[in-house]
Parts: sequence; structure tokens; C-alpha cells
Amino acid sequence: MQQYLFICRSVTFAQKMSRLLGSRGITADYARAPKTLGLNGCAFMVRVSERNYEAAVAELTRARSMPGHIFFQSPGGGYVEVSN
Amino acid sequence: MRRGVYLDSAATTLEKPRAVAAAVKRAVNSLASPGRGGHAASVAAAEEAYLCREAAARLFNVREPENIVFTMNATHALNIAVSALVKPGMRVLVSGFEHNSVMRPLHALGADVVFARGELFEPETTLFAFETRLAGAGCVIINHASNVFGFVLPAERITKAAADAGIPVIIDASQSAGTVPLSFAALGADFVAMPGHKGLYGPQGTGILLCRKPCRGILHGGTGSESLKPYMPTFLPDALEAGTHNMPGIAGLRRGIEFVLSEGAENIRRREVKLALYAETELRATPGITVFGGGYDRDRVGVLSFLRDGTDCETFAELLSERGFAVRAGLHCAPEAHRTAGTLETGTVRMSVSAFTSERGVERFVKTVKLLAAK
Repeated sequence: MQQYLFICRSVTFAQKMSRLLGSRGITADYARAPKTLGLNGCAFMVRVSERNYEAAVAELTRARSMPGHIFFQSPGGGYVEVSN
Repeated sequence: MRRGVYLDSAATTLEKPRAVAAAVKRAVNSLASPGRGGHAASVAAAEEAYLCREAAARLFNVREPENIVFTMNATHALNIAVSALVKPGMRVLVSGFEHNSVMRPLHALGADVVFARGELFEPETTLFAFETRLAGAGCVIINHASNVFGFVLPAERITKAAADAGIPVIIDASQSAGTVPLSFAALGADFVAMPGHKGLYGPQGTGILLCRKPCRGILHGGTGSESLKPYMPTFLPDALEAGTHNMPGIAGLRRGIEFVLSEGAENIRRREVKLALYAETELRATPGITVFGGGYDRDRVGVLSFLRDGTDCETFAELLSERGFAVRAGLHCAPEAHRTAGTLETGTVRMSVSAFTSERGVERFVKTVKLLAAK
């Protein structure tokens, strides 16, 4: 599945982001981030489908809650940072 | 065990909403540690913690749930706040009703403590005392409601005066949280500290610190975040929540806060004050009893201190205990409050109620005190 991973510095921020997007009708679950993406060690991520990416970025920008790092996960499983 | 009439809610509310114990029990068996894993038990713990933050944010009008920090108790919360704002030698202005959970951290830090003592149950005198002593202060600490006398200080107006002078403020809401409506967003204080086991009806071992912004904590350890860094995260709540959370406590605390939200803090205060004022009125008219109350229902919570003339307060509390009434006597860990009220030498007997205290229980208490006073 192609999706975007919004990296969050803590579980609390991931929960907050997940709820914010969910309240705007954007499905966004949270989970532990892959070890390689947690740039300072352990981190969490919010997953957003490719279809909802633009809307999610718009909502997070409006809420001043944009994370520092966003990765695109390709169908093959690789990660490409799209924003930092 | 025969419980009798419990009138020591200012120390701990003994009777809780039934959902509290049920949540604690469930948590023990189902919640792991928030932020420490991606498995179901860890995620469930994270959800519980977040829901508790959201409930507290609603009750105290805090805009961001991460500004709700879980602590072990109010003392822990106050230690964080004091260590964040107070430096050795700093002039700190306090209300004169402080608990040792404020005074001892200040003493340990070597603060220059100045008291803004007003008259008991005369909030204008307290406000004036603060306003006239603000110059040179590096921090202001306000006891929102006295744990000894139930006097509610004008915290909003004192905070505004301090904020206008650019002085940071800590509010000790140990005796007011859950009964006196408090809006953190409107208040302007830097920190508000409170226990979970009193007016919020959570279990012992829980507390909350409302934080305006991140600060350096007093504990250092694992947070499940930024693990590569040798120092604590600088963002809330992780900056101040090192180590494994008290999840059973937090789960219970959420149900307690939800109870307060459903009842309404002001409704709880009104009911409690009605009981305390009834006791005050009756005991004031009792020969041999001295009460320390304002005589009206404003500026107070459901706490009443009194003395039987010529009888040691601890002795009188023991007589009451033998008759099934749980009260607290002595200095209540707040010698400065007694110094302000002139009761440092004698201490007082304190009765304090909760949302679960019955009118009949207080009536029996009053009757018993009258009988004992007549002996």
C-alpha cells in the first residue's frame, strides 16, 4: 500500500495528530515508527493514504501541527522523505 | 470494618464514583505502558492516558492535552513547578496559607520567602497584601484554597496582578481542583498543581501539573521518545514524565474527572459548602467551641476547622474517632496557614466533606461535637 508516514516525536503527538485528522474525516492511524525513521531513536508515526495526503497536509498546516519529517512508503516497502 | 462518617476528604476522598475502582482493576490486567510499544496493551495504555489528558483539559480549559502532565501527587507537581521557576536566593511571594509541599521545596532551594498574609476569609486583604509586595519578587505562589480553613483565595486577581508585573505564578490547587471552577487558559498562571485523589476522585498516587510551556523536570529517564538523546525530551508531556506511568491510577483518575465533569465543579462546591456552613453555624452557637469560618458560602470550599476550648485538638479528634467520625487534627502539614490564622500553638480539628458526604452524617457529627463540648 502506498502511504505517507508523518513522523511524531511522541505517542501523545501522534494521538493528537491522528484525532485532529480523524475529526476532519481523514483516516489516520498511529503506530510506532520504523526504527530507521525515528531519527532520534524511538518515535511514532501517523499513517495517511496517498489519496488523503494533500488534505492532511492542509489540515496540519492550518493547525500548525506539521511534523518535521514525512516519508512516502512505496509499494515495495521503501521510504522516501518528502519533507523536512 | 465499620466506616462510620468520613470527614477527612481534604486529605483523601475515600468514597469514589464506582467507575473509578472498576477502571483501576481493569487497568491492572489490561494496560501496559504508553509509548513503549506498538502492541495492543501498550496502545490501550496510550489511549487511556490520552483520554485522561483530554478529560482534564476539558475540566480545566487547557487548550492542548499535552500540557496536562501526570505526576505522582500534588507534591511531585509542585516540586517540578518550584524547581522550574525558583532559583536559590530568589524572592518568592507566597500567600501564607501554604502547605509544606510548597514551603519545603522553597526551603530546600534556599529561596527568600516573603509572605503576603491577609485576613482569613477576607480575600481583599490577601489581594492587597500581594499587590503591595510584588516589587522584587521573582515568583508568586498562591494557595488556591486553604487545606486547613477552606478559604478560597482570589487566585485570578492575584495572578493578574503578578502577570502585569511580569512575575511567573504557580497555583497550588490541591484543595480546589474539582470543586472551584478553574480555567487555565484564562488564568495566566505558569503552573497549576493538583492531586488526583482529592476533589478529582482518583486513586492515591496520582496528580496533575498544568503547564503553560515545557520546562526542565526533576526526574530523568525513559520516555519512549527520542531515545538516542542522553537528555530528556524538551517537549510536553515527555519532558516531565520520565519512567513508567501509573496506568491503574490514571485510568481511575479519568473516571473521577469524568464524574466531576458530569456533576459540575460548582455544583459539587455548592453542596459541600452547604454542609460545611451548616456545621459552622451549629458549632459557632455551641458553648466551648471556637470555629474558624467566614460565616458565609462565598470564598470557601467544604472544609471547616474548629477547636474545643481547653482540649487538645488531637485528643478531641481521637474522641470523635472513637465515636466513628474520621477527622484530622494538628497542623495539617500547613504550619504557615496556622501562623496566618493564629492557631500555630493549638492546631485545629478539621472536618472536610466530599460530593459523597451525606447530610445525615454531618448532622450526626454536629450532634456528637455538641455532646462532647457539653461534657
